[in-house]
This record gives sequence, C-alpha cells and structure tokens, in this order.
Amino acid sequence: MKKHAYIKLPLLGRFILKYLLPNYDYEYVIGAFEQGFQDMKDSFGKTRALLWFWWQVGLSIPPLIKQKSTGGISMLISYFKTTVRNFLKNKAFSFINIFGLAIGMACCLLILLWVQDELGFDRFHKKGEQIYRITTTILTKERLTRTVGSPAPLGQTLVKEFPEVENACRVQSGWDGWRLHYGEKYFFNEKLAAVDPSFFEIFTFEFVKGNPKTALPDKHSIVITEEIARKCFGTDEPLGKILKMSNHDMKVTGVIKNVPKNSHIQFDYAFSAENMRQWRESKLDSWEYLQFATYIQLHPEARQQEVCEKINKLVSKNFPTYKVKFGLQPLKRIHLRSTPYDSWMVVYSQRGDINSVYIFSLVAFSILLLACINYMNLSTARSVQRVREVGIRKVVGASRKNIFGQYMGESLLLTLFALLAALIFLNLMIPSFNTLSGKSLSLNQAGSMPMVIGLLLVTLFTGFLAGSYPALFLSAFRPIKILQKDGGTGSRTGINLRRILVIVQFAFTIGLIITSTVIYRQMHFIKHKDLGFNQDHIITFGSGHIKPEVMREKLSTNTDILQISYSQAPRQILYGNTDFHWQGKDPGDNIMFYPVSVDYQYLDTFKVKMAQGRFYNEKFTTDAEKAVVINETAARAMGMKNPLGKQVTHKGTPRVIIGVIKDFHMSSLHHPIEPMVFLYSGPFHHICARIRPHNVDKTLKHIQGVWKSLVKDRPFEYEFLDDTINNFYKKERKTATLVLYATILALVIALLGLFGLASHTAEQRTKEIGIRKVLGASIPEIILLLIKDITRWFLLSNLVAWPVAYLITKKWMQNFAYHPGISLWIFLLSAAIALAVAILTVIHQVSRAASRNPVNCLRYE
Amino acid sequence: MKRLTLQEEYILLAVFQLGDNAYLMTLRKYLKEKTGKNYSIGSIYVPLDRLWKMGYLDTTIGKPSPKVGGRSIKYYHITEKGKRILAESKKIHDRMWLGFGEKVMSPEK
Repeated sequence: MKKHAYIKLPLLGRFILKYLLPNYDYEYVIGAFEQGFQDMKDSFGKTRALLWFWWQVGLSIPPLIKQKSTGGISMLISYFKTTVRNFLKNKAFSFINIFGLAIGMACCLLILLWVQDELGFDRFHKKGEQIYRITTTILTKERLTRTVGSPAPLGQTLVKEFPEVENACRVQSGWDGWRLHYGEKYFFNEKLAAVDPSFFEIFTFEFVKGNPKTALPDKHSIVITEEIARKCFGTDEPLGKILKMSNHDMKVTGVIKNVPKNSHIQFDYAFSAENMRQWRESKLDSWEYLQFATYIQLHPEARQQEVCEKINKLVSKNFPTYKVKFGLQPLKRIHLRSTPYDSWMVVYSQRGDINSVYIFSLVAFSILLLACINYMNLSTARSVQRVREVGIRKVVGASRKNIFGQYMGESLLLTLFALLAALIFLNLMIPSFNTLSGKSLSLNQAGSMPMVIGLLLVTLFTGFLAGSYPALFLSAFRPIKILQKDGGTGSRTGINLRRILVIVQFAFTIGLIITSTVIYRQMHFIKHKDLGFNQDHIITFGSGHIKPEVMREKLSTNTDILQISYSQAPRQILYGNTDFHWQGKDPGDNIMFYPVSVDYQYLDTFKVKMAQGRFYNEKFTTDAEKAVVINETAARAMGMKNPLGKQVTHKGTPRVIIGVIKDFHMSSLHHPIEPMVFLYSGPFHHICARIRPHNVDKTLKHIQGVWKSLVKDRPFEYEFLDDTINNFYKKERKTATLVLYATILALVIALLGLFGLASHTAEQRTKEIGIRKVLGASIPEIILLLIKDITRWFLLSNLVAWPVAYLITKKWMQNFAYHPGISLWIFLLSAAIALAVAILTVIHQVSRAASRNPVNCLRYE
Repeated sequence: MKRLTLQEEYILLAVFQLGDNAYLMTLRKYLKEKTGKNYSIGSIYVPLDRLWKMGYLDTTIGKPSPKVGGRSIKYYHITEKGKRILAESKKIHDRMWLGFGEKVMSPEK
C-alpha cells in the first residue's frame, strides 16, 4: 500500500455534507473530514477509513440538521403538530384521502406483482440468456403453418455441424399417453415430458436428489418432482425405486423441486424421449416429424441472427416438397411474445401476452393517478381553511420553500399511512385475484428486492405527485391577500384546474361503466342465444375404447338415459380442410369445410333439425360409405339451391348428398357458422348422452358404475355440455370481472373526489347562499343551483368518455361473430347511472348548505 | 450576558488551551483526551459556528495543505469577549462548586 496515495472522499458523503453545511464553512469542515480520513487510511487502510468516514458523517447529521432548520427543531415539530391536528380536525377528509390513496396504491401494487410475475417467466434458468427455441414455418400451397415443433433430428444435427450450438434437446409434453403407477397408487393427471438427456444440463431445474448431468442415463430412468415422490413413497428414499409407466419399469434417477409456476415448460415427471421409439420407430429420425420442440443452447458469443441463417441454409435441402423456414426464439420471450400459432403444439398452453402487461400497467397507473388527483383536489379545496395558517407562517418569516416542504412532508406522511392501509387491502385482494387470474401471487413476493424498491417508488411517487400541486398552490399565496378579510379564495386557475381533474375522473369512470355494460350485455347475449340445438342435459365422456354395443347395452338399462350418440360434441375451435369437391367447383376455390363425426343417434341426441332431405339411417346400409349430410351454410357455399342427390368427393371418396341440416352453432360464438360436412364414421371416441333432467345424480352414478365395470385403467371423467360451452367464454368472463372491479374502484375514487369537491363548493358559496335565501330563494332552488354546476362538468366528461368507450368496445366486440351490437341506450344508461350516483353523493352536503340558517352564514362579517 | 452550554464551554476552553493550533481535528483530539468522549466532527462544528456567530471566536484561514486534499484549514482563536464569558462561567462554577471538594472528594472520606 502506497502511503500517500490520495483517495477522494465518497461523492455521496460529500454531497450530504454540502447540503447540510453553510456555504462559507463547507470547505473547512470537509477538510477536517478529509484529514481524519487520510490519517485513518494511512494507518489502518482504506476500508477502515471508509467506515470511519461514514460513521462520522452519520453522527454529524443530527446536529447539522438541527442547525440547518432555521427555526431549529421546533419548526419541524410545529409542522408535524399542524399536520396531525389537521388530520384530526377534518377526520372525514383525512379518511377519504387515505382511503382513496390506499385503494389506488393497493391496485397499483397488485398489478405490479402480477406484472413482475409475468415478466419473471423462465428467468430462473442459469443459462437462460443462451437458450433458444426453434420455431418452424411451413409454407404449402394451401396455407402457412407456424409451429413450435421442429424436425426430430434437427437439434443433434446442429450440435454436430455448428460450433456455436453448444447443446440441444427435444421436449414433448402436454399429452397423456402414459400413466404412472406405483403399487396400488395410480396417477392420471400428472404431466409428462419426454426429453433428451441434455434437458437437465440446458435448463436449471433444481435437483433435490440425483445429479442433473447423469439424470437420464437410459430409457428406463425417470426424473420425478418432489410432490410425486411424496405421493408415491412418502418419506422413503425415492432414488432407485421402480415406478411403472404403463407397463414399463422405470427407475427413479432424480428428484427435482416442483417445477416453478413461472416456467413455460410444465411437467411432473420426465423420461428419455427414446421411449417414444416403440410407437414411432421410424419417425424419431424423420425430418417430417414435427412433434418435438427443440431448444438449443448457443455459445455466449454467438449471434442469433447468423445462427438462424446458417440453420436455414443447412436444413432447407431436407425439404424438397415444401418450403420450411426456421426461426430462433429467445427463452425469455417465449411466455409473453409468442404469436398464437406458436402455441399450436401442445408443449405450452398458458401463453402470456405482452399487450395485456402493457394494458394492465396502464390501468394501474391510471387508478393511481385518479387517487392522486383526488388528493390534490381535496387538499386544494381544503386549502381555504388553511390559507390563514400559510399567511401567518409567511408573515413570521417562512419562505416559499418552507411552506412547500411542509405540504410535501404532509403528503408523504399521509402516503405512508395509505401504504399501510394499501398493504392490508392487498392482503385481502390477493386470494380472489389469484382465483381470477390462475396465478399464485402472495405478499411474500413483496419481500423481494425489486418489490421493495417498487413499493418505495410507488409511495414516493404518489406522495410527490399528490403533494406537488397543493404544495405549489398553497406556497404561492401572498400573505397580504390572504390576511385581507375577503381574500384567500385562491386563484381562478386553481379552480379551473380542479374542474378539469374532476372531468377527467368522471370521463374515466363513465368509460368504464359503458365498457362493463357492453361486456355484460354480450355475456347475457351468449347465454341466451339459441344455438340451434339443445345443449341442456347432455353429458360427454370418453368411449374408453369399449365396444359400442356393450357400452350401449349396459348404459341403456337406466331409462333416464334417453339417447346415446358416439359423435363429436360442439367445441371451441374446429379443424377444417379444403379437400371437398363437387361438380362445377371453381378450381381456385379454397373454401374450408369442417368435418364432424356422427352416428345414427346424432340428430335425436342434439335435437338438431333437418332443412332438407333426411339424416343417416340404419335402414340404408349404403349410407355409411356413400352418403353425406351437409349444413345450410355448406349448401350456400357450394351455390346449390337444391343440393339433394348431388355428387361430391370428400378426401377422395365419392358421396351423394342425402340431407341438409339446419344451421346451428357447432363452435363458439366467436366464429361464424362454417360450412360443415357430417360424416358417418362408425364409433367415435367420444360419447354424448342425453339424460332426463330429473335424477341427474342417480343417472351419473349409473354411468360411473358401468364405466368402472368396463374400463379398468382410467377414471370416469365427464362434462356437461352446457359447462363445456360456458368454458368457451372463460377469457371473456375474466375480462368482465376485471373490468367490473376496475369500474367499481374508479367509481369509488371518483365519488370520493366529488364528495370533497362538493363540500368545498358548498362552503365557498356559503355567503352567496345566505344572501340568496334572504332575498327569497327556496331550498330546492338553491340545491338545484349547486347541482347545476356538477351536472355541467358531468356532461363535459361524457363528451370525452363516449367516443373513447365506443372505439374500445367496438374493438372488443369484433372478437365475436355474433353480438347484439352497441346501442345508444347503453351510453345513456351508463351516464344516467353515474349522474344519479354522483348526485346522491353530493345531495347531503348540498342540502345541508342550502338549509342552513342564513343568519349563521352572514353573521361572520 | 448569555450563559454557555456545557458543550460550548468545553469547546471554548479547548480553543483557549490549544492557542494557535485550534482547528476541527485538533479540537476533536483534545476533547477526546480530556473528556474521554469521542465527538463527531459535526457535533464540534455546530457549537463552534454558534460561538463564532456570537463573537466569542475569531477565525483565520491557513495555507492550502495537500494533507487535506489541497484545502485550507480554518483556525479558531478566542476573542476578548470569549475570554470574558469564560471568566464569567468560571465564577459561576466556583460559586456553585464551593465546598463540594472538601465534603465529598476529600481523601479522608
């Protein structure tokens, strides 16, 4: 260590001292610090010197602050006292302020938690920055398909060919081909993952037992999560135990911690992809087999773009018949920035959306802003009462800076209270938010570093934003004007600004009311729309691969089961093809036809009506091979008025149209009715049974009993068709609930603001009211006078809210092929509701002002 | 005449005792030697500034020294007014402490 090496004092320390010391002495005092610091450094080294320095700074701060505050510490105490007294004097105001801020902050924090969770997806992998998923785009003549599946041998080829690609692995999951069992314990719903052994080297899943490097040595080894280990073996040592996967013996070679919820790859047990060979022997090495997702780990120096180009060059020769393009998707972008098509494969279903992250952040910020606006409004409104305080303070020598500081401090203090209340609210809100969003957020997350910083930032931001306007407004008063008897009402601009703030609040609220009305109307429409078939009392369940005759016979012993049909039930999305031809079809016509598998009982089970001709019938033995039934839309698409008896070809088989079914909604109302082809396809793997509305429980028990006696290897799982159909609109229902909550919150905050403002107006116009009453105005007249003002702002806010709400709801409505439209009455109704609630809020304050005895108001002079 | 606080009195006395060599660091060292208490720089500076404002202290600025980062040192000297207030303090102390030594601190007891 060089003895005289000069080290500067820490900047922050110097900055603090600079602020606290008078200018004329800063140089000399810092000199003393410097001297001590250098002495310490020379004798004890830099660390000790720094410690000494900070210790000295820390000890010096209190006396310096005492000296700095001109009036001494007593002034700070006076500020604090005034603040507390003001809180207590205006309990209602303070409550409204804290409550409003707390709600705003709670919402903001909740959404922050959610955003943090969404952004935190897949961030726990140590090599996360190097991992990419390969996406595939296939261009055939008919269409363009984007998938996250990539050719099975691709990963290994890349590792061999390119030095930049350090490692690769294939993953296939999301299906339930194999069942796990151990002794008598069966697991049906656990998620599997067929992976390459390198999986655990690339991804960081924490191992409780076993070694990630050698976790999957051969096809007879399996890695399970702690939860499965606990379910299977209890407290026994899981390593080395033999589990059965269908009929294969699998040795447990590793136990990992449960897969974090914020991972896009979800599984409960993982085994080597080599096991797939027994089903798909040839396909596992085929370039045409696209059912694996391939993840590669690039060298840290490698450039994504270059590697991607190289891959495309290398691989395109393997696809002579159609064009394929590969892309690389960074791991951290998978959750939020995948396009819908990317999820086409089953590896990953719960896709996030970066847009909703933006939207929700915006909503959080808006609600916080509303709460802050409220605070500003109420504080400036209240300022009338405090102008004299400001005046006196200024007269006895307070500078504008002092007053500004006082009000800022006040708002920060209040925000701190609000933060406490917000945390309590947050705690109450989290459980219902979790059920709504399917997340598992908790306040414990709030203990993490980014969240603590977030909390502090939100608090400081709120405090400063909310306090800024009142502080500026109040500190600008001129003492002479304030202390003159008629003065102190503040500047006109202040009042105008306040009105604008209220208008903004109300515009926001009305917009939200309109939006939620539109959404709820749509939900009502969906619920009551005639779908063209009878969706009630139909149970759907798997066929269990049991012979239909046996199943039918056993089931039909219960007379409450009316119809049994082996056919395809309505579902959210249908898959169509263009391979449907008829005489006179334009060869360039690429219209999609949607096949539906049916049997003879289909018509009766679903209570669908025929428009023309007849349905499949057992009496006509040729029906199964030679006939076809279409729907009205299909007939129209083919341009046929009378399609009966016409020849068509479907997937190469010539058929005759024997009937036309009346249009009904086979998929969700998001989609228009498509041209459909009903094909008799023998036993379909799904059963739809119509039952009598009474004795549902007994009927279900009967079916379950039959199932148990016939199907050994899987549990009875069923769904009511109307529930299934309801689930088509899960996302919309979530949105509806969220928007409803936001509406209520915004309404509450806006009403709080209005309440404060109305009482302020009433107070300000006390004398006017008194004089009017003396001159003969009646109470209703005065109430009307005061409400007129509010109504005027209100109409203005409608002017802002309507167009915006119209555009937003219209955009949302476009999600649906069928909707009741947006009509004017929704807007009028929403406005009327908001106005009514607004007037109800202020009427108490206003009527109290109006009914006061004029003597009391005027006596003051 | 205004009375001094104990801390002000100590610091004023320290400046007096140190003569021409009284500045923040030497004062701090001196006070530590005599009272055994570790004063922070700030808690010495604040009373010094106050005493200077009240006219009990005078200051001179020394030459810039490399040891304190090229900064100058501010030396404090006691003024006549300062000496008078110390004398006043001493008198009060003497009056107040009168007899304490014989009764409490005498070796016989």
